[in-house]
Amino acid sequence: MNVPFSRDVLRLSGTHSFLLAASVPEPFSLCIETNDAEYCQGMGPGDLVAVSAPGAGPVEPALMLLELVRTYHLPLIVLPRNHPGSKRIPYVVSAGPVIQTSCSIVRGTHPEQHLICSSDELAGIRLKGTLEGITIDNLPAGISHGIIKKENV
Amino acid sequence: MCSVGGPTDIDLPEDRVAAKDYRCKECGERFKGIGKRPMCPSCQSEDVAEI
Repeated sequence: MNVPFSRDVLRLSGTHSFLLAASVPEPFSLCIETNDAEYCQGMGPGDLVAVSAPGAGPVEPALMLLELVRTYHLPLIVLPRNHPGSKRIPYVVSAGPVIQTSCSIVRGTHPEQHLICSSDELAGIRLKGTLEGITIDNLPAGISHGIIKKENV
Repeated sequence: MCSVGGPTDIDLPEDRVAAKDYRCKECGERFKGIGKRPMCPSCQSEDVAEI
C-alpha cells in the first residue's frame, strides 16, 4: 500500500496503541546520545521518523515529538539498560529509510536495525519512505490508517 | 531503539552499534556515524571522510 503525502503525518491506529510516521523534508544529521558516546545518523529526503505509543496515550505529544526530531533536529537521548526513568517514557522514536515495528524486541537492538517497539496489535508492519510518501507492508487486519494534515500538526 | 514488555524502555548497546569514525572535511569535526549517509553533526556537510 502506498500512501502519498509530503509534510503530512501517517497515523496507524489499533484499539489500544498507535504509531505516527512522517518523511524527512531535508538532510540533517540526527544525533543519538548515550551515556558516553554520540552517534550521528545522516537523514535525507524520503527517510522516515516514526513515533510509537505502545501503550496508547494522547496523540498530540507524539506529534510534537515527531516534529522535534523531523523539523527541529533535536537529538535522541538513549537511557542505559534498567534506568529508573525508562518506565516514564510513553513514546519511542525510530528513524531511517525503513522502519519495522516489533512487539518482541530483545533488548540489544539498535537504530541500524530500524526497529521500533510497538504493541502486539501493530507488530510486523514495515514502513518504507519514498520521495512521494510511505509504502506500508504487512498491515495487520483491524489496523486503520489515516493522514494528519500538516496544517493540523 | 528498542523496548520490551511492560513499560517502554530504550537501549543502545554500544558493542553492537555499527558506527564508523568520520572527520568532516569542511569544519574538521570528528564524529561517530551510523547509516549509509554520514553527515557532519556540526556543519551538516556530507563531505566527510572515514578515519
